[in-house]
Amino acid sequence: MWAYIVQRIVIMVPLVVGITIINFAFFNLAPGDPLDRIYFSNIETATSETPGQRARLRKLYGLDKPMPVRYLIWIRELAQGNLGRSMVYTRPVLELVVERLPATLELTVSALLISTTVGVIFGVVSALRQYSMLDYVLTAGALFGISIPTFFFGLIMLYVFAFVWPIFPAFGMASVLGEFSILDNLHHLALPALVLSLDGTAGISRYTRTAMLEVLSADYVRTARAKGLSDRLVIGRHAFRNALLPLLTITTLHLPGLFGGVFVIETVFSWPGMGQFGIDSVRNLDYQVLMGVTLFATILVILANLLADILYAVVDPRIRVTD
Amino acid sequence: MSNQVTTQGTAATGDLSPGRSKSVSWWPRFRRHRGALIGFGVLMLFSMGSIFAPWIAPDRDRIDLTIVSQPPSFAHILGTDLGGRDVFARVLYGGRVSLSVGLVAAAVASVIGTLIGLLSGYLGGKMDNLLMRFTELISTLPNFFIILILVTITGPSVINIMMVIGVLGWTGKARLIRGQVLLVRELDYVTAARAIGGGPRRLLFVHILPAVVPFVVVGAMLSIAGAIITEASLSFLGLGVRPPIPTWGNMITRAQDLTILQDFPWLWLSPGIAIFLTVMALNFVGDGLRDSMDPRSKKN
Repeated sequence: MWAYIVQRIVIMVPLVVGITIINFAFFNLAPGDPLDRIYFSNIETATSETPGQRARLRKLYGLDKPMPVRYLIWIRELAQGNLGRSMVYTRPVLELVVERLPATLELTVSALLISTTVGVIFGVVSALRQYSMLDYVLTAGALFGISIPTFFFGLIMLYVFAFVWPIFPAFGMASVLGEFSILDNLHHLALPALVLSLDGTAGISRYTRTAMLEVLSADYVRTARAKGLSDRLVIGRHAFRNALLPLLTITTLHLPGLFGGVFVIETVFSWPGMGQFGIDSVRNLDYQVLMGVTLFATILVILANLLADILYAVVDPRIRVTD
Repeated sequence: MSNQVTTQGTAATGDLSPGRSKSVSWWPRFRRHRGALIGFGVLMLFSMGSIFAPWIAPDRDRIDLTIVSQPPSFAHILGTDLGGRDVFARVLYGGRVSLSVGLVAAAVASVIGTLIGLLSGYLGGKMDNLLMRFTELISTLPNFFIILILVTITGPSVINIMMVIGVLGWTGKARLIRGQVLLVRELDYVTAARAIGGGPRRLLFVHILPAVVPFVVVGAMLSIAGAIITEASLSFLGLGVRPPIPTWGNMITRAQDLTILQDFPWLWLSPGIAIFLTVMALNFVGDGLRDSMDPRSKKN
């Protein structure tokens, strides 16, 4: 078991290195001079440009060095926990990211919990009552969920539950006035987490339904029924467990989408996390921050994949043996 | 709903007359898929509306300050916006950008994904390993964020948005096609073609590619849907196509202002519903095509 985990971690290392290279290349090979994009982008600095200024700035920001050298410098600093400084906030990127990470994690983890529990329950119920009214309603609901853009669903929920029937707050993580309380926080969390979870819930319930239907018609389930086991035992012990296995993969496949949704949802609900911060940094083309946020988001996805791999091995002993 | 219809549809046409090629036989089954047909109709309606927008509603940009922010009425069936412009006209024109971004981005993604999948599956060995590691690398990136950054760096023109979405959206397809190629290349007819001296290019494009086309087509439908949502999200955040060119996404941007969200719902509801209906229609058509083109989905 431990050998398997170590092996998985070793595989991750080249992946992380590869991703930093690709990121770096994306930002640096894009057409245009970064100085034009950052420094000379507003009229004041563009018109007051003095002769030697460009070369001096180039040297100051290290842009005079060739790209591979710049990459190595970036990696060297990264190894020491230095992600550079934000040009807009003039503070270390790491500090800025760490400040905002908890808010985003709270939102994404809640959404993931809702997606998996509700998705699995809907999927199983749908499969057990195939072609019933309930199945149709849930199937149609899932189709609705994968077809509606997250931000539009967010706006509708905001309109309905914050204005027409104001039972939830419209923005932020907590009330401006008054002390912090968990209840108040949860009250603010409910709408954005629900909206963010919709896509995953729909995908997972569709997937669970198919997997469940497939398992229910498998030979070993027929055998279990033939032995005279009760429905509860057949479904709970024989069918459900096996349908659940690939769900781990499906859930991890949803993670990048979840992080994509965060950028939009945090904007709609003014949730002060990495998503909003990221969007602002894109608007300002704050390079160091963009590299930092990308790196964090990628590492979160990779860690989640690792966790899924390990859980998979725990649940399914065949993987440990064959690998 | 659609599932049951398909099951009956396949049962009825399951025994295809011998001698009919696979490429012809999918249509009768597709025709019986009610959801897919309705979806197809919706798509046609929206495409026609966008293509003929200049004739249906010529006054896209006409500002009329005497009729600012009016709710839907007979004169303006979807109301007017803050500049007194007709929302219906702008939704029609918005469809031009949204639909063409969806089509081109999906085409780009399909071509890249299919090529990489074909090569990876057919060549195998080291090349396969290399291509799949590269695919894994790209798919681990925070896709949406990278799209935001690249579009901002290269400039938010319609062409750039199409390319960026397409170039980052092929990984799932490459994996799917590779899996199919692995299955198909071991089939007897491919072995036979190889035995009579078919070269790699001939094997790949004449014998293997046609067998995976259904997967490419269904994948492309879902990609169009995905690209439309991505473009809309970009424009909604104000990082996509800029006004005054209307897109469904940038028409909704104003709803970030809570007063507009609350007081002028018709401004953001119409383009939002247009996106929703288009994506739903694409999903239905994709489902219908999958059920009718993939011989293995007969069972379910």
